[in-house]
Amino acid sequence: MRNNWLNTLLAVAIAALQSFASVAQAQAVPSEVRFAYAGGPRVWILGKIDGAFEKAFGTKVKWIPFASGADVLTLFAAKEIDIARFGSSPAAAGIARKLPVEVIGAPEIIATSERLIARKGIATLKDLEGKTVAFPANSTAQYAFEVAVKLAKVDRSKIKGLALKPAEIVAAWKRNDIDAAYVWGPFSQQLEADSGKEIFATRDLQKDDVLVFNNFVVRKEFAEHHPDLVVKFLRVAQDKVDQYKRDPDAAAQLIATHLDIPLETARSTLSGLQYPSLAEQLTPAYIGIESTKSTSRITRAYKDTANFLADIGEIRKTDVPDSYASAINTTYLQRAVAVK
Amino acid sequence: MSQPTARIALNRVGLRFAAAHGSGKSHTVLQDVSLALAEGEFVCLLGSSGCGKSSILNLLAGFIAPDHGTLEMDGQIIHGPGPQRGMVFQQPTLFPWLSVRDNVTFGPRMAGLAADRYLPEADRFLRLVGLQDYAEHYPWQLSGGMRQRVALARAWLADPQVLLMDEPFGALDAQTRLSMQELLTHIWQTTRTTILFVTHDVDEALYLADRILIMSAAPGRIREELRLPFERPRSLEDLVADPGYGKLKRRILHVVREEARKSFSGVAA
Amino acid sequence: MNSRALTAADALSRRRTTNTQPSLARNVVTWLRRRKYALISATAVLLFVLLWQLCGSLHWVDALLLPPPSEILGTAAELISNGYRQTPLWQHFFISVARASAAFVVAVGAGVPLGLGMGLSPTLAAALNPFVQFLRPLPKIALIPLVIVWFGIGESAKFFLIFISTFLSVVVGAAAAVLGVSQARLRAAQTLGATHHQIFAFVVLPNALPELFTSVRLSIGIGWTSLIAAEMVAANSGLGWMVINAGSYLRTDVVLLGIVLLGLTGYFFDWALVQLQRRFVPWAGKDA
Repeated sequence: MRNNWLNTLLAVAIAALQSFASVAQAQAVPSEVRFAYAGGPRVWILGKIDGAFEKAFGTKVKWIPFASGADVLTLFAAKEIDIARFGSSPAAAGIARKLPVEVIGAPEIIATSERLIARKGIATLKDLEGKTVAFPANSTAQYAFEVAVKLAKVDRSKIKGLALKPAEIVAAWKRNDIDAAYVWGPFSQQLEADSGKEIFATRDLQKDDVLVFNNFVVRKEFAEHHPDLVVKFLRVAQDKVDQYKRDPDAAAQLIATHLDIPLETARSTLSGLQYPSLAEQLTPAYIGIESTKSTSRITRAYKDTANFLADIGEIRKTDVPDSYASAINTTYLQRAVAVK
Repeated sequence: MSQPTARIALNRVGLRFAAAHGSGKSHTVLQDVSLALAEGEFVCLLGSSGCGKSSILNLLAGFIAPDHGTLEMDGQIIHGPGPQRGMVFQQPTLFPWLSVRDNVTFGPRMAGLAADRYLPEADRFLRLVGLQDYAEHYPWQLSGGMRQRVALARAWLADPQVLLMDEPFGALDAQTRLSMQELLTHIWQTTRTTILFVTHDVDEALYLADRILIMSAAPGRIREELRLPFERPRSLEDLVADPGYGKLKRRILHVVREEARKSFSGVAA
Repeated sequence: MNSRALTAADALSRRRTTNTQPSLARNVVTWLRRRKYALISATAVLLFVLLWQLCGSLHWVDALLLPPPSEILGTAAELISNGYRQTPLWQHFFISVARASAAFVVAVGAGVPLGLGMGLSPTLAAALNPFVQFLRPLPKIALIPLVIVWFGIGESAKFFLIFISTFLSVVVGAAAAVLGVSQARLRAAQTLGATHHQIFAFVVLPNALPELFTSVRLSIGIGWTSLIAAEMVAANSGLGWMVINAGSYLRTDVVLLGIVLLGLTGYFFDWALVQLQRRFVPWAGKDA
């Protein structure tokens, strides 16, 4: 009788513990998910406007703004954000420094959303010799500029490069302190409004097989605890791309109103990016799947970016990993594609 | 006793200080004070604290102006401070960035005199005060008594016609004070400068002065004047043994203590 | 008393009474005892560095967040041989020091006379005080956007930021130094026959020197901390720029190295001024 009672007690206790554990394992939804966003016109902002992410997650989303990609690295290091959409070159730098993050998607290939705007009298990259060019520090714009100069065989040492925040670039342009700037919208449009002219766009690098893009990056700890949310995130982000493609003007209008910027600025920035779908991202032309990612274009692009940054001395050569494949996790993409 | 042309004089001077922090009532420091010093006289002004003796010196120096009455020197009204009326304060008030010699020669240097005119005199004074070996030292390297000796030499080298001294030995210990008193009379006997010496030490006044003026409690007035009969040069030991010394001291103490009691019991204007 | 205690006592007394201690040891002990406080400071710093290194070596803290001293030394060696961003390390150091020194010289050269003037003239003080007292506590980083618009992104913007923070402190200190002259000293000079101008030149000014030196020391310390704000304005060289730029690539090792170098340089500036003060104002803090 006593044995029986003890056995029952033990069985109940074990069952309770097991269910406790499984409840803990089953991702309890966090109190909020924190996104880092650039503050400019981007497609996923549509999800901010209509709350699509919050509906899909079942919890609040906090949108944290940053001025340039470099700030995202600091926010990740301080564990202040969970998911960010930012440039490939700062991401490459951060991964080289062993930030505990992983790449989960490459939603935007930069084509004309980042451009080199120059004053009258400067028509080609060669004309930049002897001039001052500004760009945001550790950004895709800086990377594109440096690679473009290198590929055009222009003497980089004859160009004075200046790292400025995007807003500072506009102020410096107005004061005639700089002759050209490589930057994104709405700032590039502000320069064009002040007698600036585009002489180069990141799309021009694609013919030399140089990929500059924006990625979705997640904090590893967050992804481990909430893999379902990551999948839902990718799904909603793709939905917003579909929404944009269905009616680009309406989407641009929504975003322009929400951000309080001119419609034309929103429209030209949004159309300046190429948007590979989830399925496309899984092909080797972009990220690939787990088995093909080590030789995909995106993975190689990360490595090229890192090597370049090491050459100019921004990251240590010893920090550059052999392959960026280990920092890319395609399982969420694969699961998101399966969900329809 | 006043002489027809006094060297320096107060005539019926009155002085009020505005009350602190606007309590409305001002208080009278000096009321109808008259005193005159003849050329070459050594006069001591005795009184307890708060009776206005320092104010008299500040008036004569020209730092403050009276509310009533006049201040005169050689028949001229005193308007402001000047080298004719030198002063020695209770604190040496030396200039710490100058050496002893540069402190002592400050007056002649400001007057623009040539170095060969004042340097030998300066050395003479330094020898007189016994500091000839410290000419290149700085004030912080000297003791309190030594600093006061420098102050004395400094005031005297400027060759003032009247020397105003505000309890100059009050901060020194008893032994140093006695030596300084002897030094002072020794110098004075060679220069015969007119001196007005403020003190609250009765023995000091009896040793130094030709005349002693005793001040009443506030509002200040000259209450009594005594001419000292002692001959010069005086020695401290002989002075103390003199029978007249005791009687004078008793008289002075009596007056001084009466006035002190008045100010303690709060009898004020 | 057991035998052990006896032996101990014997040993003690033997040590006390013996004179056969080698004099070298005794000299060392005396030398150490005299520098007791310096030794305590040095030991505290060493312990701190040791703890820091352990944090890294034993992985108590992520090396990304707090690189250990060993890594920073490695970075230092690398920067000394290869420079940072193609510019040698000494050049970054030199540019920062040059920028700051130029601003200091002008700030002190302009601030001391202006402050002295404000101390002597109540009218001037009343006219300028509102501006001085308002601007002085303002964090200079708040001025950066304005400074870029006014001065652009050249050296003048950086010069201005360092200059303005140093200048305002110097002015306030110089005015206070003049106002602090004691009435007794002024009166002593008057009774010695000094004219108004002589009193200013030979009493007020020398009297103000100790306090002037102190306020210049403090102001230069404040000005040096503005160097970072100054080099946030479109620089591409300098220690402050190095710290900011390395931060955007998460090169915390370079950031910490830069911080150490900035701190040491500021410390050196201050030390140099203290030596100057001892030389020119030996009476400071002493009675007279």
